Amino acid sequence: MKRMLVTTLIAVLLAAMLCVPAMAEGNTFTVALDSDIVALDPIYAYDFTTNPVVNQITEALLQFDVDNHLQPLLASSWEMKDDVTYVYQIRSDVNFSDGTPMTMDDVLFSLGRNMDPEAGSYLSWMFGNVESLEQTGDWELTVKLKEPSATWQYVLGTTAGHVVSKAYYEAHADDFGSAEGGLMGTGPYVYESWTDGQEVVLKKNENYWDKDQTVTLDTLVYKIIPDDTTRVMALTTGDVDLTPATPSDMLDTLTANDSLEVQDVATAGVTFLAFNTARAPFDDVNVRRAVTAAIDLNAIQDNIVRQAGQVGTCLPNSSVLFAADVEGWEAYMAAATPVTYDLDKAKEYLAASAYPDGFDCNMIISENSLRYSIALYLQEALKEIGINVELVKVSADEHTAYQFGNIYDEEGFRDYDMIMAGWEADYPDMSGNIEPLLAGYNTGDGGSNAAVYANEEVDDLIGQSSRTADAAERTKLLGQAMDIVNQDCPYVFLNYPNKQCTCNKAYTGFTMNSSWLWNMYFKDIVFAG
Amino acid sequence: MALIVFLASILIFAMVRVTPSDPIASMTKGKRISQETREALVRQFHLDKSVPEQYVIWITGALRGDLGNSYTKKQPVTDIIAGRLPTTMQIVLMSAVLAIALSIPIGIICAVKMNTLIDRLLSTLTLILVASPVFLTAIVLMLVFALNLRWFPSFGAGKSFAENLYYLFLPSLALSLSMVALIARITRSNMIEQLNAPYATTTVAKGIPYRKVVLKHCFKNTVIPVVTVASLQIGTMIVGAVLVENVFALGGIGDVLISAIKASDYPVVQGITLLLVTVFALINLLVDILYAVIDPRIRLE
Repeated sequence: MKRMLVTTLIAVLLAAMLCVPAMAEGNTFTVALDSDIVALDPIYAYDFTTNPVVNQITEALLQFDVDNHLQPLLASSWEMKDDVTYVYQIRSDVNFSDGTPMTMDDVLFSLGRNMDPEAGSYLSWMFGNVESLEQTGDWELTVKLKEPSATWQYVLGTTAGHVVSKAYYEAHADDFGSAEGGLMGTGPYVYESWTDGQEVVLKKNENYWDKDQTVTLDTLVYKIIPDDTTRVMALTTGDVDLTPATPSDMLDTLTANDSLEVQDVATAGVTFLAFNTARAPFDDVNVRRAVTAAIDLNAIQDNIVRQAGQVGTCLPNSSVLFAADVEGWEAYMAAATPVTYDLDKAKEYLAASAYPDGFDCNMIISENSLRYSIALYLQEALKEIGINVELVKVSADEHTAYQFGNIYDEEGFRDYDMIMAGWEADYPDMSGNIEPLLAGYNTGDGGSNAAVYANEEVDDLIGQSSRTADAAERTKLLGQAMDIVNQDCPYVFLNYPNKQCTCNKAYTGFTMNSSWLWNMYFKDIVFAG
Repeated sequence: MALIVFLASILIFAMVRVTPSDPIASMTKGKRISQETREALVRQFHLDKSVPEQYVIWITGALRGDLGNSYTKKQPVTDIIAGRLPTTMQIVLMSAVLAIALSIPIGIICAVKMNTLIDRLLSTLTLILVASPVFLTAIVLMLVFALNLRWFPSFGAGKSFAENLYYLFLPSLALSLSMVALIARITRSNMIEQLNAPYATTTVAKGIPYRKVVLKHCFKNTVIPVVTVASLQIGTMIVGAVLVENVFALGGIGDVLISAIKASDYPVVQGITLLLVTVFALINLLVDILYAVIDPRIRLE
């Protein structure tokens, strides 16, 4: 009987192998994601796995080009009437994937969802400064702000500016954006299916409004492959054509593979070491200067970070965030006099502090091999000046709780001495990392200012710059703020991480850039064979 | 059994809340949200209520088949479980079948050929397999059979039933191998004991073919302890499935459990753990019944 069982099993397996159809070449493009998507609804699309899916189905009023400049998409043009009034001309020739025309009603409804607290939009904060959204002409949208803002311009190029069909939403109000409910947008692809934890399938939109755009791929398949080794193997075997989640410790294997292309792009992100400036011993500016002067950023870059990022400076901004005023910031960097690596100086600073003989302290880090290596280096470097660092490794989620001020000690201070963490600007704006990390009002519950750094003068300068439209003027204001910060040393900006995207060379037409959270589009991809 | 599950539910609910974390931060992954949205989310997920109140909401919901909504995924927990359970059940079942189909013959062969070269060889092999962690076995199998030989796909669960069987073969094999080792060893030692028992000698002396003595007479007496161990192992397999699912990107229960733990997605962690406890309790119940079916003597007691 057992023999029968085994024979049957083998027979069934063989039959199963024959049943599997040969993979369709060329017209099906397979993307590997490292985790499942949150939802299909653009108001929850705010992460690096959900967005590459949603960006194909719905489209925003504006879009970022490869140089991080804004370009029209569903809006044909826009202008700033005065410093709190923005006027957008909406295209009249756009239709949803079922052929029905997109109306002003759909636009107002979609943007308005971000302002409805019950909808729980993850992008709601972008609309915090919006006074009103109004239709002021047949195809004209006017946005009134509560106060001038230099960053409002970017909002409608993010998923917060995506337009969904109102009629479709109303017909699927209970399960909109779920696997069953789906969604309808104007994008080059339409939603087909989502098998939780396994795959998302999109089909070509046969009714795509932009007739100048040729979409050659019939099907986009997103496979959810959480394991790094498996994802890399799937790329090697050709089962997967692209992944935006390239494991940094397997870069060598991937670059060596002739059939794959690894695109390396700078991001708007920064990896930093934050001192808890609210609590002893790091409330002492000389202690912070001492630590800053004891850290050799170039050594970290050459020995640890290498191709995974760019060397840190005295600014939280990677080169990506200089886009609006490259010359201004280069001039700033040339003139700046921050505290830099100098071991003798470090000892002098420490001698001038309240702890001339050094002290013990802790550093919170997450489970990330690159950051752990940097932490080990820092531990050694600080030992040189008599500071003993205890590394506290915590889970990613716990780390988030520390970083955003949800864990306090008995006296109500954030419960760490130092934390190594990262931040990535949402917009390619020069204040994209400065404001969240340094503004005093970001120090509270859920606040991104991990150094708990509060300086009224700095806040004032950041505030002024966000109310200013002129790029050169903003560079000047933010530069003044950074001069103060560079003397106070609340952070050490360790490096600016790069992001790698791996693509099979059989396909062309895809270029990733640093705004990929908002502009990762697959519509131009062509099978080249 | 209901009591055990009930007590477990309290324990689960309390334990997931031991680690310090902010559910709202879990939802938005640390990105900022407006104060009004934060308050609305707090209300929607009952986070403004005390922990005992939250427990009551959860457990009464669970009794009605509603395990609440996930923090990180905009879906009800029951939907997540329902979508993923079939895959996990299938690999656990497939690997149980594979494990039994492989291990019992190995055990019997080793017992019959006790202390010969074949016995030593198979014993060493099973020892290596039992010592190898599941995820390592999985990666090695994948490298050999999916990457080099290309006999099997390297990831995914397939769509149709036939595809399922094919796609899930390697993961099931990886999962079953450590169980094969254990069951084979138990079969072997029990079988040796039975072969040396007086009744076995008598049957052989009566002239019944040795083959028949082994397979008909001795085997039946060997099966009871094997069933006990195998059933306990199926429980362990559900846990092992977590690792295999991750390596082969199967998108099962284990896979979502891992990511939920990492993200402090309490409702998902609670829901799945409760489900696992219930399954364990059910398996134990089934095994008790199975004993009675196999061995009428137990029924009489």
